[in-house]
Amino acid sequence: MANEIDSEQMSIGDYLRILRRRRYYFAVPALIAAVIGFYVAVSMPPNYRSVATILIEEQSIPDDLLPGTVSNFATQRIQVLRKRILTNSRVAEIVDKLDLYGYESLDEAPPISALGGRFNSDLSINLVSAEVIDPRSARPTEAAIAFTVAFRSEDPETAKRVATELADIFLEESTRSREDTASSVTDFIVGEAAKLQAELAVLEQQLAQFKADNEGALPEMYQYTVGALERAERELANLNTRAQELQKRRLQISAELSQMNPNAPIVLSGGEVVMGDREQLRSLLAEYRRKSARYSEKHPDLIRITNEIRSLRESLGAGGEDIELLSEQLDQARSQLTAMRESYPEEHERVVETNDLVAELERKLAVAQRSGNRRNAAAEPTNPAYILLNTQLQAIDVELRTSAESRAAIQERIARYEDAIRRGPEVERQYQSLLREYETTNAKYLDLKEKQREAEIAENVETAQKGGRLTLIEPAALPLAPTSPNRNAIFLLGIVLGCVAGLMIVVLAEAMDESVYGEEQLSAIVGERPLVVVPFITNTVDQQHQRQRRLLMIGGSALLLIACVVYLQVMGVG
Amino acid sequence: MSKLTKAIEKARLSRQNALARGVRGSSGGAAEARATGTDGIVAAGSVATDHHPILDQYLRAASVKPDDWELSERRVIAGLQDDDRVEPYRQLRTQVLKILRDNGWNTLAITSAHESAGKSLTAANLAISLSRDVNNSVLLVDLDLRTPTVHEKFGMDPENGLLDYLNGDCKLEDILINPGYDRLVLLPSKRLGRFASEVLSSPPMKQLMQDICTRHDPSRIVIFDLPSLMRNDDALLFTPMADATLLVVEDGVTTEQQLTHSLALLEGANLIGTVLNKARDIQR
Repeated sequence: MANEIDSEQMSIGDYLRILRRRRYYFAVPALIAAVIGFYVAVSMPPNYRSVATILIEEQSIPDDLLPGTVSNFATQRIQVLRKRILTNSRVAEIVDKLDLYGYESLDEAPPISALGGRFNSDLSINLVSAEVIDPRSARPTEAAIAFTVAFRSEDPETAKRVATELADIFLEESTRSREDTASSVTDFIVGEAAKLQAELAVLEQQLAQFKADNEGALPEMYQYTVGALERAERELANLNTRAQELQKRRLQISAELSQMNPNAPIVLSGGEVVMGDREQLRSLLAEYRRKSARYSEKHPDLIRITNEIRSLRESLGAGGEDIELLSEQLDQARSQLTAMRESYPEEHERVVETNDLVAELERKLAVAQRSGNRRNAAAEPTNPAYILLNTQLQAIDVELRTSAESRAAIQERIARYEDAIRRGPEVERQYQSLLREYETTNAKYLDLKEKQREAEIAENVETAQKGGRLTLIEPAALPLAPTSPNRNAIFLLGIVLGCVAGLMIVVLAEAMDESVYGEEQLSAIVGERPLVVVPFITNTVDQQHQRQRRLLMIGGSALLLIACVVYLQVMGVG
Repeated sequence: MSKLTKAIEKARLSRQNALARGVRGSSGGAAEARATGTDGIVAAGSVATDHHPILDQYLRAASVKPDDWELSERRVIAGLQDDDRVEPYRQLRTQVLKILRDNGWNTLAITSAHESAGKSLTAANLAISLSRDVNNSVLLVDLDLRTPTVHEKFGMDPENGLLDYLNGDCKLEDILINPGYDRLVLLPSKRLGRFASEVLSSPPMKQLMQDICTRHDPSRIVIFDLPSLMRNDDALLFTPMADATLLVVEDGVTTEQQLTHSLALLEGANLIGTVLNKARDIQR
């Protein structure tokens, strides 16, 4: 700026002088703006606003007993509700139903999105907050306790109708949505629970199967198995020891038995020992053997021996042909036959005889063998000592057999135990993992079950209207006075803006003005003060002009201002 | 100055004029002039010492007396009694006199950066103010040959002007005017369209200047009303010839640039100071 800015600080006087100097630069824009403001203030159509207030009630059942599944954050809820209610199509419905914006039918109206925009700008939803004590933390917080639904329109009736309608929609939608939400929550949880249950069943099954498959190797069985193994091994050791003993004893007994005569010798009264039948039979047999080597079967000695043998046999209870005898005889006959065959031809009668004899003996032997088996066992020894030992031997034998069986069984068991122990760690791992899976799933399931209970209760609460809900505490009233525009404010704003513009123009003019103003500035430029400052000399013509101009300005603006104010008051807006 | 006071002044002056005319008509003596105090014949007792023949001749100029009311309408107020607006010119007079006397100067050129700054008016008022002092006699020369305005300030319309004299059409005493103040003589110009520069540098002009300016007597003050510096360089031709120069600055119109330019142009012209004219919003 070429002027006073260059010099030292400007005083208030300087500013005032500048303003005075450029008063028209200021006044004209201010006046123009005032007139414009006036026009705008006057020509804007009035808007009426109708407000309905809806209270957000807290749940009547305290939260810590029943944390609602529907969140109570008011702002969120209201916003969500708003979004749901005020979809473009819904808005179009409302506009149509209430004949808003003067369209005959929806066809005439602009596109739905434009309608929606206009509707939304006429609508305002605000929260009413208050300080409340948060039940969870017992600290005071700001919470929304109510909200207002307001609609503005150029017609007060319309404003009221729409506000009422909207409030109704909000209330209805809120209830419905809460119920819906609660029941859908329940449904969802139930579904999830069922799924988990199925999973659990499968896992249980798997677990059972696993346990069955790995019975001995289960970790809980480990100690037992180890103990059992030890016991089994001990048992086996014991059995082995016993068996060894038994074997030893058996050998002893066998040895004794072999040296003992199964038949007790028959002692006559004279003290003579008569050969027992068995021994006699044996000696007869031996004799037969001896003799048959020398004689043929027809020999009377051989026949006699054979008959004796037979009778002995019968008395012994053997009966039939003795297998041994028959075998002997058969052997004898066969060797005889062989010898004969060497000496004589096949057709010789001796050969034929012997052959027949062999055949017969073979037949008898076969028969005897068949029936002899039964009788052999019946041949009992008579020596009591022998019988005793024999019994003992038999008992030992039985015991050994049993022992062997037991041992086999134990060994099998041991093998099983060892196998189980060996597989232990692996089985344990698998088992643990199966178990974990089961337990986790189970925990989830239990948790879900709990939630399900809660959800069911909440659902019941909702349907019983006990949950946090909305109630209309102040219905939309018919607005008596327009809420906008604030004409005085607009007018004033116009004036203010005008002043600002005026000032700006003054500043601009001042900045662009390069003239020298005042003694100070002159002195600054020249370097010394002027010799004299001669004020403007006015003559009568100047004075006249000044007066005229002043009169015009003041009169004109005063008139204008008064007219504006009067007109505003007449319009009846305060 | 109120309207009533002006009216009274006007009446008084009218009487004086009538009286003066009447006196001259009857005699032409210095005594009458002394008695009335309005006779423009400067030689009649108001001049202390004067020995230069040509100047004496000048000083025997005829007198014409304009109306004070008219003068004040034209803003020529330095001659008014009881008017505060005279004060600045008195101050200017004092300052100028001091400077001139201190240096033994007696010629002063007045110019400005641009037209309509009020230099002619300043020259006129200053000349009047200087002439009020009985020790001084003032010759006011209008050298703005293209648009001479000094005579208009005094409400005069002379038949001849400087150029007529330079052309040889008339004698010097024919063009000299007494505008109605004692000890003040005006050398007016009439409008000239072209050839001003040639005239200004012609021999008669030079001779005139020489005659006027060689007198180094502070009681014989010569004031030159020059054209504005912006106009042409006529002003610059003359400023070296004057002992001192005064620059008139118009408040709120002269731009800084014009001012500095003027100062630069007047470097060699012995500028003794500036006058802030048409000032509004007087600062204290």
